[in-house]
Amino acid sequence: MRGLRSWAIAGLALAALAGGASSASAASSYDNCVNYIDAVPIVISTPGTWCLRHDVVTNATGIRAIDIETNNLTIDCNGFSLSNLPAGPGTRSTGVSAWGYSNITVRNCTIQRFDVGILIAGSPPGGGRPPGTGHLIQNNRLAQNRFVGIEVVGFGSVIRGNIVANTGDRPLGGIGWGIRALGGVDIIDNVVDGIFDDGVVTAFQSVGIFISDFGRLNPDITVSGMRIVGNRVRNLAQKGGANSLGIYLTGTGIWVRDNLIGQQRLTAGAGVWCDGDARVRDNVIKNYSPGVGPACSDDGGNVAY
Amino acid sequence: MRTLRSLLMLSVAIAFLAAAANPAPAAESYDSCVGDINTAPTVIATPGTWCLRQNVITNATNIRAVDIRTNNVTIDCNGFRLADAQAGPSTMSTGISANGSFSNITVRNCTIIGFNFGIFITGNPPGAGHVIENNLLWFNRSVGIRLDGAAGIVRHNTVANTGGQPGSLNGIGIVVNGSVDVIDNVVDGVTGDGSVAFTPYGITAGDNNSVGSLIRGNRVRNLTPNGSGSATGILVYSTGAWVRDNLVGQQSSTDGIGISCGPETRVRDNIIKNYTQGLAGLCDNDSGNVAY
Repeated sequence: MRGLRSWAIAGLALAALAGGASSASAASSYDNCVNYIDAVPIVISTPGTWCLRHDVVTNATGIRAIDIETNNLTIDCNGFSLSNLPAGPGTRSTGVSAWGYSNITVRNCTIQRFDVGILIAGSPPGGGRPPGTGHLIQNNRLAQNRFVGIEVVGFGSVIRGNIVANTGDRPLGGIGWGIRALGGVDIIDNVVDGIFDDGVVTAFQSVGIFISDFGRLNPDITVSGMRIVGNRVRNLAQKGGANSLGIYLTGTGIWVRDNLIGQQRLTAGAGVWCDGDARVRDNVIKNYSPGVGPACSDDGGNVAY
Repeated sequence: MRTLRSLLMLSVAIAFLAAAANPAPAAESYDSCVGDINTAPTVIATPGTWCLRQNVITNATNIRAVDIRTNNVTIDCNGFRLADAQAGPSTMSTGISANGSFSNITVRNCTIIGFNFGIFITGNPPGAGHVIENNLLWFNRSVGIRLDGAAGIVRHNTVANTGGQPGSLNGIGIVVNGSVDVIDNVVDGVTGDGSVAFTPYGITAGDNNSVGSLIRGNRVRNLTPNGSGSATGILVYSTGAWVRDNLVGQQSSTDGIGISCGPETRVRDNIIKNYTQGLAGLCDNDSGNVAY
């Protein structure tokens, strides 16, 4: 009896070790890299996976550090960092940028101290280079970017599993954004923690997550069905007459579910603020008044306290 | 007898399948590694991904086996083991440590065995953006994982059989302080050395002057109090935490609390089995909790 128990325990231990020895996500391989990003600024006009193989630092202001000029492109930082730290808070540089292309992926990056961390966008509807489709922004850290952590404009796109921390400090900036999206973009399982001002301005607005369809820009183009699910939005600064908004929605058919939106103390603004047709369910909101804005369709399960 | 035989067959089958279904560590890629960790202690002062390519074993009793002293570091063990088992239960060593205001530290794919603390990331003030994921913490003597900071995540880890530090009154599977989310982890087994009253905790969360954590989808089982001690599955002493969809269970009736709450803790859809109190403290019961 005792022997059998020992064997059973040993077997389970072996199973645990066998499982432990097989990593779910191995150290990154460069096998798929078509080329490397060793310095910035760089313009990329060849599709494929472009990789970082060491940290990349620039002190340049007003640049696009990685400027994507093609469709079907992946930036894989393999855990390395892309930093604009030496440029200071007045930089107007962007970390990773694309304008008017499709199927852009940015993954496994630590992007820090740019004005905008990631900007994948296009011209407004009817403009010269309309926004593309199929973008995927996942598993990145955006740290201490000055104005916006992540911005995606497009269709059929996903922002997932990113950490956007301590955005802000743009000199005399009146607003800071954690994640900003226009179009058909799902925003899933991200952390937005900390948006703050430069310490000088007297009024400052924070927006943790913003999403809009294109209705305001062009009523002829409508998208719907965007999901804002499982995000955690915390610690947004608010100053003067400006509001702090945990999740801010404009547009139609947006689903907001299972998000946690919290402030340490009572904050002027709203946890979820809707300007359009948004279904809101099972969110937990702390220290905003109101928790859920009056124009939201409250489908139940929301807790605001 | 029959049950044990079945368990034996099942466990061997699981071991076989687990080994067969997963490639050998040699198949992993080391392309992104900026350096290797071949011995302990090792001090990491250069950012980037530092890798294990082999098991690293130490018998030292008071070291930081991997001591991180800079920002933007990933420790990727590629499934290999970092072990201090030979040091015995009295060891005061830590497996992977960062003690400073460092940010953006990742620890992944590690099997960490037999340290006093398996992983210990802290600072004054603590940093931001840490991720502890896909690790197996096994037989660490006091704490499996401790992470202090902002915008941190502890996810998809298995923390098994924590405890055994001689004379220790407490053992904890996972400790977080600050706005750290604890998602989809297993804490299975926290046990004392049997010599003193012992109070085990599965997961504890403090706020560190931030707004609370999300504690979601974790499974906490088999906490073993001793003497006048009692067990607590999830202890939240932060404000504004959100505790949801966790499974907190004991095999038999246990003196203690399934989920113990600090102020303004929202608790929903958790299942708690065999604790004398399911929910206690300042929990705001948002429904869906089952305690039996």
